[in-house]
Amino acid sequence: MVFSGATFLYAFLPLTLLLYFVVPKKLRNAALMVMSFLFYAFGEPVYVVLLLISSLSDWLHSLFIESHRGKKSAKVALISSIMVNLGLLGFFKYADFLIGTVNSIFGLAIPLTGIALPIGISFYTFQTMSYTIDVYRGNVKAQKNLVSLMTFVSLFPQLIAGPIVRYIDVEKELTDRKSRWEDVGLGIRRFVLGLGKKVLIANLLGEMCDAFQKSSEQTVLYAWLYALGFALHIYFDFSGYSDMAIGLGRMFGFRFPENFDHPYISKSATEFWRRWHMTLGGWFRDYVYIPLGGNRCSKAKWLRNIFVVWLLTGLWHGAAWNFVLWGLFFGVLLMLEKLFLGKLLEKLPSVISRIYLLLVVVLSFVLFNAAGVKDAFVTMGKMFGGAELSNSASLLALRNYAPILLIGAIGATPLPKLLGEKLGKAKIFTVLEPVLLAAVLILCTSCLIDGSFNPFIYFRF
Amino acid sequence: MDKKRAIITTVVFLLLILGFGIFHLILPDAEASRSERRELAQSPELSSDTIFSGKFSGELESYLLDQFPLRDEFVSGHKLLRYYVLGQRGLDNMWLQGDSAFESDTLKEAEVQFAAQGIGKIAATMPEGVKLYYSIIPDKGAFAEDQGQPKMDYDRFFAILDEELPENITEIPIWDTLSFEDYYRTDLHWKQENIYPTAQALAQGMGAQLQPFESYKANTISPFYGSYFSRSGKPLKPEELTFMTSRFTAGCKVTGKDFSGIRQVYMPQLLNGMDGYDVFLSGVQSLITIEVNNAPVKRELIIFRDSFGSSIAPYFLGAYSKITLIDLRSPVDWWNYVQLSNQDVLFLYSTKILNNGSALQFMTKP
Repeated sequence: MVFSGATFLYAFLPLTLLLYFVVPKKLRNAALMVMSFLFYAFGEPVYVVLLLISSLSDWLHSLFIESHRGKKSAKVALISSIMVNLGLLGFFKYADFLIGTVNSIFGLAIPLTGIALPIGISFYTFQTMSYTIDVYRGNVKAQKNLVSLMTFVSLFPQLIAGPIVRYIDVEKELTDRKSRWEDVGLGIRRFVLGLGKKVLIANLLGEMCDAFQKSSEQTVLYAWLYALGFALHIYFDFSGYSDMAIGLGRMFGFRFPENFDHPYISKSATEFWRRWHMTLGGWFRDYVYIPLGGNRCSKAKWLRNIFVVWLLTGLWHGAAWNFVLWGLFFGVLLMLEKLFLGKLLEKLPSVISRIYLLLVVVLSFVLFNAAGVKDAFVTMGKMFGGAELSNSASLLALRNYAPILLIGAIGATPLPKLLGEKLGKAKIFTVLEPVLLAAVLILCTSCLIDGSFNPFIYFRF
Repeated sequence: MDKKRAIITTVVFLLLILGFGIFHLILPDAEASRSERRELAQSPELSSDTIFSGKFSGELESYLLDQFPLRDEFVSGHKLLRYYVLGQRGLDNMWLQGDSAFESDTLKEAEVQFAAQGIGKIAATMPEGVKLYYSIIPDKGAFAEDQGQPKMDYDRFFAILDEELPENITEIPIWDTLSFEDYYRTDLHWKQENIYPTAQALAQGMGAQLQPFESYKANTISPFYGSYFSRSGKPLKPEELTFMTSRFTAGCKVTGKDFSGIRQVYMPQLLNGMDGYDVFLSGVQSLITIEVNNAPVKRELIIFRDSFGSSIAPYFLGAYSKITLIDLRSPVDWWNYVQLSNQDVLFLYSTKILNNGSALQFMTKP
C-alpha cells in the first residue's frame, strides 16, 4: 500500500484514525501495531513473517543484552542480533547480486534465487539494528513490552521508506504521547504537502523521465531534460514520502526526525549529504563511520572509513553495480573535498560551488537511475554531445515539462517554505490554509484517478 | 499552527477522506464508463488466494479509483490542470484543434509495406472479371493545422503504395472531398452526414450512381463519446451522432458471420455500448452482407475495409444490390462467403490502419 493510493487515502487512513482515537489510550499502541501489520500485509502478506522475526529477534536479544550488561555474552548477543538482521537483508536483497557476480567472474551458471525483495527491508532492518546497538551501548533501555517494540518496528508511517527512525527518537512517545489538535493539524498539513510533492510534481517529472527512457529520439536536449528532471523527480518523490511519513507520525503523536533540508542549495557534496536522506547519513555515521574510528585516526584509516561508508551507502540503495559506483562516486568526492576541494569551493563564489554541486548530483543520479553502468555512460555521452542537439520530440518534451521543471526547481529551494511561514501568519490563513490543503488533496485525487504513473522510487530499497 | 486552525484543518481533512470513503460505499458501482469506453473495475474477490498472491491489493486499488465518487469530474479536473495550468500538449500523441481532438502519427514504412503487400496478394487471387479499386481515407490529423505535432510523411506513404500495389488496382482519390470538420470532434471517424461527396467520388470511380442526397433523412442521437473523448488532454463535451436513412437502408437484409439472424443497417441501441460508432453496421464485424430488397440495379460490391467503411457503405445501397464488407483485422474465411465473378472490389482503408498494417493480420488465404 502506498500513501498516494486511494486505498490508503480513502480507506486505510480514515479507518486507522478512527480506530486510534476511539480505543482507550492504553490500547493505542496495539491499534497502531495491528493496523501497521495490516498495512504491510496488504502488499506483502508473506513477508510479514520477516518483520515478525526481525522484531522478535531484537526484542529477545535486547532483553538478554540488558540482563547481561557488561558481560561478554552481551556482546555475543549483539553480534547475534546484527547477524540475524544482516542475514535477512543479505539473503533477500543481495543473494542474487552475489550469485550473478560470482557467475560472471568465474563463468559459472549458479541459478539465481529469484526471490522478490521484501518492501522496506532496508529500512526496518536498520531501525531494529540501531535499537539493539543502542541498548548495548546503554543509550536506551530494552523495551520489555513486546507490543511497544513491535509498534516501533512496524509503525506504518515510517515502515517501508523511512525516515529511518531510531528507537531513541521515539522511546518516550511510545509510552507517553499526547494527542493535541495542534499536532494533528500540523501532521495533516505536512502529509498533504508531501502528497502534493509526490503526486503533483514527482509523478509528472517521473512521467517525463519514463518517456525519455522509452524514446528512440534521445537528443542532447532531451538527455539534459531527463537528467535534470530525474534529479528533481527523486527529490520530490522521496522527500514527499518523508513529509507524508513525518506528517502521519505527527497525527499519531510521534515526532520523527527530518530527512531532507533543501539539499539542492548545497555548495559541496559534503553539505549535500548533510541535507539529503539525513537519517541514513546519520545512521551510517553513528553505527559505521564513528565505530571504525571516524576522522580521529590516521589519514589512511580516515580515507578507508569514508570508503567503507560510501561503499555500504551505495550497496544499501540497491544490489547492482551502478549503485555501488554511485556510492563510491560520492565517497571519492567527499574524500577530495576533505583533502583539498572543500577549501577551494569555499573560496569560490557561491554560484560556482552551487553549479559544481548540481552538476555532480545530476550526473550521479543518471548513474543511479540507469539500467546498468553502460546505460548510464550512454546517457551521459548524449548529454555531452553524443547525439543530435534537438528534435521535435525533445522540443515537445521541453514545452510540456518546462513549467513543472521550473516549479520543481523553485520548490526545491527554501523559498516556498519561507513564503508559507510569512503568509501563514496572516489571520485569513486560519480559514484559507485548510481550504488550500483540501484543494491540494482534491487535485492529487484527480491526478490519481486519471493517471497511471505513481510508483515510489525508494520502495525498491 | 494555532488550535483553531488545527481544528478546522482536521475537520476539513476528515470530512474529505471519510466523506469520499462513505460515498464510495453507499453509491452503486457502475459497470462501465461510456466516456472512457471501458469496463470499470469491480469489487475484488476476497479469498486467501487473492490475498496471498497480492492480487487483492492491486484489484482493490483499481476498484476504488474506477468507482470513485464524482469520477468524471475528477478526471476533468486533472485534464484542466494539465491543459490549462501546465500547458501540456500532445500527451499520448493526442492534439487539439479548438475542441476537436486528433492523433498525430509518424510514418511506419514496414507497416504500410506489410498492408500493401497483403492487399496485393488478395488482388492476385481475384478472377479476371472482378474490377479492383483502392482508396485511402485520410486521418483527421492530415487536415490539422501545424501546432508542432509530429508529421506523417504522406508523400512517402503513397510512394510505398505505388511501389507495392499491383497495377490492376485503380486508385480512387477522395482527399479533396474531405476536411477537418468532416470528422467527429471526439473521435477518429468521419461523420456520415458529411461524407456524401466522398461516397459520390467513390461511386463515380467505380461507375456507379448513388441515390440523391435529398432522398436521405438525418437521424440524430446523443450523447456520442468518441475514442478520443477521454484521451484528448482537455475536457470535451460529448457530441451528437447522425445516421442517414433512406428507403434502401430500411429495406435491406443485414447478415453477418459473427452473429446469427438478421440485423438493421443502423443499430441506435449500440450508441450506449463501449463504442458508439457501432451504430453503423454493428461495429467491428469480420464479414457482413447487406442485400437490398427491390434494388434498382443488380450489381455487387465487396469492400475490404476498416471501421470507416461501416458508415460509408449505406450510401452505396441502391447503387448496388448486394454489398459485402470484410474486415481483415478479424479472422475471416471470406473466400467461403463470396462467389467472385464480376463484382466491384474496393479496398477502402484509413491511413491510420495502413500505418499499423500488421493489424490486418488475416489477409492471407491459407
